[in-house]
Amino acid sequence: MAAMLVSALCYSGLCALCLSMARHYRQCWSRAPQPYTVNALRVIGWPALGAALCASVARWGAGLGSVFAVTALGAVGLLLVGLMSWRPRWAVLLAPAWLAVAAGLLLA
Amino acid sequence: MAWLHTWSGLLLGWLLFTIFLAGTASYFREEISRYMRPELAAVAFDPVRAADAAQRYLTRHASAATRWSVTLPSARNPDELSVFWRDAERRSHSHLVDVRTGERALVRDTRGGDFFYRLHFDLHYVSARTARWIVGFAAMMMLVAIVSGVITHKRIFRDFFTFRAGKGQRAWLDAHNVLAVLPLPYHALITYTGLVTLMFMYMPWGVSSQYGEKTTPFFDTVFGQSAALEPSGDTANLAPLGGMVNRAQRHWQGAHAGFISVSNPGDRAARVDVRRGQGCDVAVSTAGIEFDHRGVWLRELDSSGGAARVREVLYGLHLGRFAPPVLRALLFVLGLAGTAMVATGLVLWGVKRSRSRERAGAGDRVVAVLNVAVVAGLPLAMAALFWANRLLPIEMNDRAEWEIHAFFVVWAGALVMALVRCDQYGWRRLLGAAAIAFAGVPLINALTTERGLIHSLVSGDWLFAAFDFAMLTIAVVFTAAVWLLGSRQNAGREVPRVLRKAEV
Repeated sequence: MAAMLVSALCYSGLCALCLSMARHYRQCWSRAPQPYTVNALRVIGWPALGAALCASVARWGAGLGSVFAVTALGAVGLLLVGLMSWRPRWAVLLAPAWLAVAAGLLLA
Repeated sequence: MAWLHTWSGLLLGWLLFTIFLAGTASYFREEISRYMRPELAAVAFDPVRAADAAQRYLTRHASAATRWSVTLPSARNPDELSVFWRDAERRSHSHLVDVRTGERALVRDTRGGDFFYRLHFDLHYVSARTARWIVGFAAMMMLVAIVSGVITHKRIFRDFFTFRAGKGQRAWLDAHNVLAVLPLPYHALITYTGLVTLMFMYMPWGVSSQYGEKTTPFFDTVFGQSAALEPSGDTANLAPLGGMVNRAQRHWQGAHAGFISVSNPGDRAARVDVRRGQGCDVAVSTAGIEFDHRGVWLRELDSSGGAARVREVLYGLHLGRFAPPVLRALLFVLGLAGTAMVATGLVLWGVKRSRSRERAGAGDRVVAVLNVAVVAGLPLAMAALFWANRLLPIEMNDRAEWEIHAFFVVWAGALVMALVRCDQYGWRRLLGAAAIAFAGVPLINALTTERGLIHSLVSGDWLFAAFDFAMLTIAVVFTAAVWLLGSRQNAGREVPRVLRKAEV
């Protein structure tokens, strides 16, 4: 459950940072991003990654938590790259969907 | 700098692919061992009971030995209790004991998942020392490749998420970059911590400058070993080991015991050394408790000093035994990514060469052949190991060794097939063979044992069911690879020149 949340935060953060790059934004929406969009995505992305690390450390302690966060980041990142090159829209939709599922599991 | 990355990667790539793949498989070492010993029925995890069973067996069969070693079952592998001793003629005996009966476990002779674990640093058919020097050199070159790769990759942040599929050389390069950069902390950590586990062999001068030839006192002091005692000559019964394990586990607040070493069993000067099991902490644990022959607590043993602790943490990070199931699965994924990173690098070399105007030389052919033989052949050999495990006669002499011979024979066969055809067709042929081999593992399992897939699903034997499903999934992946390679050929997309049918 905590694993789901950490992975979801990693994915959302990486997705936001990915989309903040013009090349990948164009993969999804076929036009260049506005400057404020780029900034907004960066403001979402980096804190999301930070939140993932915090959540991981809160759940498993400093040692295991940091290992989990870094590992999840790598694995989730590979998933993101694969999805972006196959179906970019689905890759973007997965971010809020995954977060919703993780939040739901946490609250339930 | 690019040439450094290319050559350090290429020349050792085939060995590094083997190390990575065998090491990644070792994340599931105990599960593989359990699958390869289908006669062992699932037992409840109980180190106390196991210790008593081991003691019964050793008292009956190894009373003359000066030292007993008992490897207790772990939570991941609760059926596997193994004992080791040397008899009066210094011959070693290593047996599996049934936890329930205290008798020799009636199970087929096999190395199980330990074979892949040992393969990735002890190799095979060479002495362990030689192998570790070779593997250590390869690991150093891996570090060189990682660092030089990062330096060479000028657009590392701009291309962080870039993967342009289906565009020939660019796709292979993108794949290699993504697989390397995203899990970069993992790759660097695994390579570095791998070297640290064998650091006393690679850099012995610090220890030997202080201790000279006899380095045993160093290890005893730093890693909390108990010194050997001379036997007194008076016989005395050894108190129940289960009780000592119980006391130790209570002291460790629930952490399980993993290993027992008894020196001078049956003598009044006997010493029992109960060591903590692994998996409770990121660091590898060397904590132990020493008892005398009556079970009286003598002293606590542990590694001393910050340096030893740092090494234990690094060693523990490499083994990854601390990981709960989800994290272990993620580490496995990253391990596969590392393996794929090496493989894409090897293929990329051939693809890049094919774009140059030079004719395909002998070196190109060597690379092409080895690429097919290793990248497609090693998985095929792994599947063959499982086939051999199920098909070799149970009563065979040296059965465990023959399973391993079968592994290498099939791998050599893959090399022969690669020598004949190392082009696209050669790849498809070997990848297809691997797909069939993996798909066949659950089939052979169902035909030769009573723990086939249907039975596992019905009786809730989730380990066997998961393993069979994993084999089928791998078979699907290889089938997809064969299909993708075929469609690329039909679409006329860019393929490495050495892989095109007409040449070579």
